[in-house]
Amino acid sequence: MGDRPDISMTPDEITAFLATQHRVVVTALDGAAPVGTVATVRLDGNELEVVLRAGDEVAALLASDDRVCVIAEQFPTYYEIKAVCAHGRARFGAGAADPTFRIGLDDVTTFDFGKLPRAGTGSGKST
Amino acid sequence: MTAIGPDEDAFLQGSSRVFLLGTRTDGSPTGWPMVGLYPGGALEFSTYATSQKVKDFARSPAAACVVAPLDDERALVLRGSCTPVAGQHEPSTGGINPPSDVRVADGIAEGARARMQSGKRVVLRFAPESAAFVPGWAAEEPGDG
Repeated sequence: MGDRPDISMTPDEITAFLATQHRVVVTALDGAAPVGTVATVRLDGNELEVVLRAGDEVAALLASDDRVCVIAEQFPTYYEIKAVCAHGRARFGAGAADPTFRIGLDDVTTFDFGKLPRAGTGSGKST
Repeated sequence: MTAIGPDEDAFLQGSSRVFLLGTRTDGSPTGWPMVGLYPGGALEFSTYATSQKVKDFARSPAAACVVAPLDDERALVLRGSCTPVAGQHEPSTGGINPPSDVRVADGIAEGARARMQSGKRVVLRFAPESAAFVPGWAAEEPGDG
């Protein structure tokens, strides 16, 4: 990694960020190939509740292979760029009008550009 | 699914907010929010040569992209393949000016270009094989209306 600073988020930072997010990209598998879509999200405790649109092909794909990645991201300005990618298995519930699943936050990759040094090594600026 | 036509082409030229999707070593899905540059025909991404995504796509080029402008009711879902481009360190569009929808702090673009020229960064090229619009970031939520 060398000159690349650690810009990952702490568990508290992850939940604070996810509490502000309402849209995510959901990634499932069609055989061995990834497929994506846009969905609605809500943080519920230490899990995400994700709502897909009725008829979204990703819901059918997750029914046959429940491995999933859910990506939340913001980029109002460069140093406010943040993202959380949650990996796991989609657990579908019954009774919702639209396909709805839950995923935990125990396998995540994250970044927060606010943790980048503003000058010197790792800042992204020429020195 | 349809091939890329004029509508998809115009959409790709107007937005660089792209979620690049691939698979991890165990075959499970993963993804990365990226700035995607569209010189026409393919999407290009600049990334560190040592990054995990370069290793992942060198192992398995199966890929997808979700192009999702924040203020658009549509997003574009692409399926295709993504591979590191041997010997190419800068996107075909050049590394100087960021896309108009990317808010980059002073000095960042210049720093990125210096790392491209140093060979620390490489280009990943995504070749779309199919495209389909889905409701996007600014669409009504499921159950609305």
